[in-house]
Amino acid sequence: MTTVPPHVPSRPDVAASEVAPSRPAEEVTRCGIGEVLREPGGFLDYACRMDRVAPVLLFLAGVTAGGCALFGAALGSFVDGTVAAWDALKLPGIVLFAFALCFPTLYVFACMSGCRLAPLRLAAFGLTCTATLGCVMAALAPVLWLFAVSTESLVFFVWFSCALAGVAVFSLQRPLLGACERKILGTPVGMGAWLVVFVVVALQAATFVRPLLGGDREPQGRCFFLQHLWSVATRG
Amino acid sequence: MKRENWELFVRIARLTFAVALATAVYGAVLAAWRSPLMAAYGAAKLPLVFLGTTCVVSVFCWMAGLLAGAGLRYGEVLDAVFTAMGVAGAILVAVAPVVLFLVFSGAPDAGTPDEMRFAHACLLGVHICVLGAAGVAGVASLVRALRLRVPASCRLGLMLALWLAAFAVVGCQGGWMLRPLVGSPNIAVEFLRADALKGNFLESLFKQIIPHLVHKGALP
Repeated sequence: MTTVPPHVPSRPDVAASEVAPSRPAEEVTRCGIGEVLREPGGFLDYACRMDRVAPVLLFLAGVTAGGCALFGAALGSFVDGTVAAWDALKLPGIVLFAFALCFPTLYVFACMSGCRLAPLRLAAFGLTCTATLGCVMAALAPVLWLFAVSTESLVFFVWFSCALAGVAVFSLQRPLLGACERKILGTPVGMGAWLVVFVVVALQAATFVRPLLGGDREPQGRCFFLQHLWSVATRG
Repeated sequence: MKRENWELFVRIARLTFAVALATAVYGAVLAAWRSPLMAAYGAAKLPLVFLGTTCVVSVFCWMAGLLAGAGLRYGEVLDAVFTAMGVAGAILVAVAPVVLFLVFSGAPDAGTPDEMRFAHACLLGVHICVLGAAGVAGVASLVRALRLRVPASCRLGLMLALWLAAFAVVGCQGGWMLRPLVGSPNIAVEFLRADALKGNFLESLFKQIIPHLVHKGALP
């Protein structure tokens, strides 16, 4: 009689299977936006032990795109409706493109931070961060819109938009610290460095798809985001 | 050859290949803003800087380890150094798409000399940050690895200081000799400069760069 060896989970799944048994993906997406904001660590736990990753990735990408689209529409309403529509398309593109470009960096930095998630589950982790960003941006969109329709100065509006975007980026510490609390990450240092890279790429992508606000008042030709930001935020 | 030595040799060979590949990728990104030819030169030269520096200083590092009481064999020193370089290489490869995007979306093809100098300075800043971060991560992994291998009586801090000083001095000189690595906007694309073997980076630092900063820069 032969004995059947017990199932040995692959290495990336070890940490996840220690937490709890597998859960259906529908249950994860049903948790909704509130779960992403209220308990990002718990949502990450779900993401680590779900059976199918794709629906959750789509859900998180959708939340990201929706939130950024609202913020973009509010940003563009400073100029007119056409620019608002374009910015509602551009902003989700900027954030999702920056995430895609930074994914290899996320993988290496996460590995160095003690993360043992497989690449797809790590994508779910990264998209949880961008979804948090999208949620906060959506919440700040009405504030930005209010100032967009009542402000004359481009210089003031650029600085104000940057400040609100900074608040949204600051909120990313919640999922990062949540991941550390749940032992998904060993240390937040590597992911903090990744966040810096992500923000730099997003800013450069925003420069690449300009004009966002200023039209012909923005610099022409290829330039770095610092030149673009400085040019718009000082000269208007 | 003993099985243990053979395994160490294979591991070092694999790490060497990985470091060469990673630095070639980043070397191409480093010089890509000037032209494809310059990118090819960069892909050939950056591995030369990394691997050449290791070849030059490895014997000194091994002896410094013996003096500090680490008791490491020559192969173990190479293994530790290439493991650290492997970590740095992984970071360089991971960041390469990001830097390439910055290069092709930010640096202009043509412009006034001031605009080109500004773009060159920005790119240098990006590369210094990336290479610095990769170096710090590599050194951190080296420290962790050495703590597990050396006896408690070893003067690890002294040994690491000697290793890093040797790598810094020889690495800077290697990079200086293999100029241009990034490529200045006002100098023609070439594999090596005509004055590659004339002078060294320390002479350049003390005779040109520091006096320039003192007389024309922020210092009075």
